[in-house]
Amino acid sequence: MKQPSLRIWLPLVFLAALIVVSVSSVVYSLHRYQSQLEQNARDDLLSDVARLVRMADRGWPVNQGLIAADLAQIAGTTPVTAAVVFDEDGVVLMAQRVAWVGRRMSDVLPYLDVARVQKTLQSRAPDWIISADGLHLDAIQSFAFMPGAKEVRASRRGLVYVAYDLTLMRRQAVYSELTGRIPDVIGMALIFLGLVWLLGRHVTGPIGRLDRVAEDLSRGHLDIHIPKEGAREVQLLAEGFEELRQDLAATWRAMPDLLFEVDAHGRYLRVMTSRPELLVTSPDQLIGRSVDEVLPAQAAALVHQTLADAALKGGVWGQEIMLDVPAGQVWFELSVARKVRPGTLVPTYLVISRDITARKRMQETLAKLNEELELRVTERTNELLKAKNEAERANQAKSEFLSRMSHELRTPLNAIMGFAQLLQLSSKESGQQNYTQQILSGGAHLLTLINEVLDLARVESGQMTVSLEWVKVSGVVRECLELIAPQAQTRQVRVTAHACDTELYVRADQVRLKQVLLNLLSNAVKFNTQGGSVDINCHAQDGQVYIYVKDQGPGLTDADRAKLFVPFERLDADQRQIEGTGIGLALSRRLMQLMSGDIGVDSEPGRGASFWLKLERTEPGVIKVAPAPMPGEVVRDGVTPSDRLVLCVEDNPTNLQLIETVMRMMPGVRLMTATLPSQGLAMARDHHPDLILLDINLPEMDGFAVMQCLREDAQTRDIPVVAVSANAMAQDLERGRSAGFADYVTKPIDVSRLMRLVEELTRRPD
Amino acid sequence: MTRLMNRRELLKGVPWAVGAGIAASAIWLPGCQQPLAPLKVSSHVWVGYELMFLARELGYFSNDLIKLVEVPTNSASMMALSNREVGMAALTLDEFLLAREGGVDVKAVLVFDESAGADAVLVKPDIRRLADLKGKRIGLESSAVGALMLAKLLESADLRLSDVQKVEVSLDRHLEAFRDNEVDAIITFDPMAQQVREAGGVVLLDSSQFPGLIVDVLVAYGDALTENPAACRALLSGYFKAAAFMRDKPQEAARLMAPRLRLPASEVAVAFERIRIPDIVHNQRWLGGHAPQLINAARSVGDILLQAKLLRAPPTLSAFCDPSYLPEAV
Repeated sequence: MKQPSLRIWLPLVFLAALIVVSVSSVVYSLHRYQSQLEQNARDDLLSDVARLVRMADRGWPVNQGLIAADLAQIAGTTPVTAAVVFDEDGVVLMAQRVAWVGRRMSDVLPYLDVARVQKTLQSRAPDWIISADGLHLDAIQSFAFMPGAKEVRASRRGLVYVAYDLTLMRRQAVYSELTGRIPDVIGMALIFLGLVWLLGRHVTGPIGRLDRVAEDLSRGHLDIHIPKEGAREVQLLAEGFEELRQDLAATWRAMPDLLFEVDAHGRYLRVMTSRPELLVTSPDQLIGRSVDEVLPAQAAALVHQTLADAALKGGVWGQEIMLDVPAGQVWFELSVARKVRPGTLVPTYLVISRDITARKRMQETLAKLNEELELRVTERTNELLKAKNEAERANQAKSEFLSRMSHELRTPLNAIMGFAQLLQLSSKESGQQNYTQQILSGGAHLLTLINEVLDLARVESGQMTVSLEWVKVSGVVRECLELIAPQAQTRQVRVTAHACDTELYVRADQVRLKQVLLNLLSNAVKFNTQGGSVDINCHAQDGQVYIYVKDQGPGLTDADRAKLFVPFERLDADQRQIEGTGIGLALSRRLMQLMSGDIGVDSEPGRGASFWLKLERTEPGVIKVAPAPMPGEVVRDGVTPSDRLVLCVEDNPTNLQLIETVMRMMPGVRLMTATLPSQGLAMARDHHPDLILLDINLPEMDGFAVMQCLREDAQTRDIPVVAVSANAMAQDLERGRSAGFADYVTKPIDVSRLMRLVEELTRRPD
Repeated sequence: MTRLMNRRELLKGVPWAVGAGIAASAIWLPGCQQPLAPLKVSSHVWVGYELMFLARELGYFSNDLIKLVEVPTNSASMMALSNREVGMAALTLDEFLLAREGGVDVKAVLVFDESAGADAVLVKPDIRRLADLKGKRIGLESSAVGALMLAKLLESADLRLSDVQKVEVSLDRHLEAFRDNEVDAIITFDPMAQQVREAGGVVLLDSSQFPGLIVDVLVAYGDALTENPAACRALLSGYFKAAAFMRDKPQEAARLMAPRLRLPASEVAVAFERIRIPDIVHNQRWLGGHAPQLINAARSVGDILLQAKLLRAPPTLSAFCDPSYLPEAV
């Protein structure tokens, strides 16, 4: 329902109240008037009748003239409609109309009731009647004629009838009452108009102007003056409006966006902006026109699409559009929201158009930059790949170099060591023995040096790999004790293992762990005091296993400890005439690190040093790695086997001569030699030797290929084959094992080890 | 939006219109709706006045506008006028003059008739000549007409007032007085004159011998006229319509008028023969123009009344007559 205007209904309600009050008052007053009128009229009527009766009673017919004059006077008064004197026979004797005289009463007053006349004749009292509407009243009364000459008492009676009509009087009363109200009505009208004026001036007028201001504000005329007038409440309203307007204006000035209101057909209803240079044309020219008229077809279609989306969803954001405006080519981001004007069902759309040109440009720049970057990354990657390949190739070359170096260094050393050993075995003279021992000692040192340098080089270049498996600590300790025993004996140092028999397993590479532990033991022996002792201790803690090697040497200062694990640092070893490369501990640390373990030292000068190894504790079988076959223990039980045939395939005559010499030293062993692989294979088939010593670096085909041939031939398949090679690299050893070699002897050949192997592998079951 | 604004402006006018309406109704209410009492006209029975009653009988004017008050005598009529019981009255010219001298501020709006035999001096058959009246009893109403006729009678008879015996008889007793020989002569007028004639009266002298002397006029208070001019106009218009009716249908008119005149219908026409009824045009002459005829007549009558000492001074004749209520002449 539409609320009526304050300006209308307040005065109207007031007016209605005034009218109700006035009308009630008038009605009541008229009612009172009417009662009064009736009362007065009845009194007058009865008085008139009485006057005529009194005159007629005494004066008829003598005073007829006077009676006639009185009757005429009575009849002449306004309310009187009839004034008649008639006799008991109903003949009119006198009337307000001369013409009625002599006529029958029933003719001139047909409405007069006969019974009433008769009743009145019997009575002396007047009989009066008022009509139901109160407008007509009449009275009738009888009188006696003067007695005739022969009568004592009048025998005839007459009647006086007077009738009133109050219609006019009542009308006049009403009129006079109403005219009496004229001042009231005028006053009322003045009050009403005054109220209207006051209301208009102080309330509805100012509110109406505020309404128009609101209209203008909604059209975007933000610099409009807001009139502050009227009643206090209205002024407060205006102040609120002003505040709102300032807020709006400031917001709008601060906002760099364009705001439009358009209808569903894309017609501009409102345009607001503080940056007109962003509009296609001036705001005045936009209003009432459609986007189709002012925008390029493609942009207009986009706007229409956005409006349609907003109609469905209520609001749409982020639609981007590019337009040519006076400020240049500008990108806009459109945000559209639907709204409905109060009181209508027609939706309109509020469109905020944001200038996103700068962002757009930045995005473009960024994209370009990205592209360039990608290109550069690709280039760089290629370069790096190339460099990596080159590095890998270089590394490969280095590895090959190391491998070759190892081979090339070992081969002559093999000859030196081998023949020095032979010499030592064959010479009985103590002088010569002493010289050969010097040679062997030097050779062994050189060999160790070479091995360690190679190992270190491999670790440094990352080529060193360890194969982690579960290793029984007690086994490793026992083995090392055996190996260190001769050296310890020489130095008269006692080496003892404590608490290392327990079932402790660590995760480690067995060979490397042995190498590290042996190195520690060797140092402990070398740097010990003459006749001192070395203690090995094992214990497990927090999932780690610690192996301690404690000596009774001079101990280490803090400065010593800092340099301890640095390659080629020998501390005071040189002054003390202790041989060594200075690489051992550095290599040990690298190896321990490779095995996820650690190495360290606790020491005080003068109190010896306690080196420790730390490794992760594990359980057997946890690491599924085939345990490296343990080198068979040398058996010196003195059993002399009958002739055992050993085939040696070796192309290097020096090496071949060394092997022949060693084999000759072994009783019951017969040696056959072949310098070519094919020759060797043929001899193996023909003679079925007990053992084959196979050089890996052979002409025609290498040792692995020969081995494969041997394994493929049923006659030679079961013959144990030992690889003999200067290829001492770890992968060579591994490859040798997997190829099916029984063992691997590296050059320079450890003669005693070779003899032990031959002894062991050719032993025949009894 | 324009539509809304228009509506707004329209609404703005509503209260003012309402206020104006109230004010207008406050003024209009009394102006148009004032219920007026009917204009009362008193008259006694005289043939010259009868057309007025014929008009009432024929319904030519509304009883709401005009109330004809029938009084027994012209004296009563004069009294009613003086007492302002009525606003208008039918009077003879002489009565009119007397009334004006008595301070009754009335003026003539119609000339009913000019007596041309209606007023007469009737005598017993034994009196043959005017001179025979000497020493006789002459009955007359104590009215100006009576005085006028007496003056003319004495003038014609070349007698003095002392030569005759004047007997005052009220109009309603004229016949009775004549019949009962209370008087030898009676100065009366129709219809009484006719009745007296029938009772053996002989006309010795009548008004036909003094044209313009006995004139009946309708007089009215000026304020009564201004208060209700329409009523007066309606009355005069009805009066002339009735005159036309009588011209067209004399018998019907006579039948209607007879009861009041207490004459047989056949004699009504005779009664009318003794008066001259001026039509609208003649009335204009009587009342209007540079020298209204009525003024002249009033002067003559005034002189006679002055001589008869009925008037103390010559009549003032300003605002004497007003022809403006006469209907347009057809």
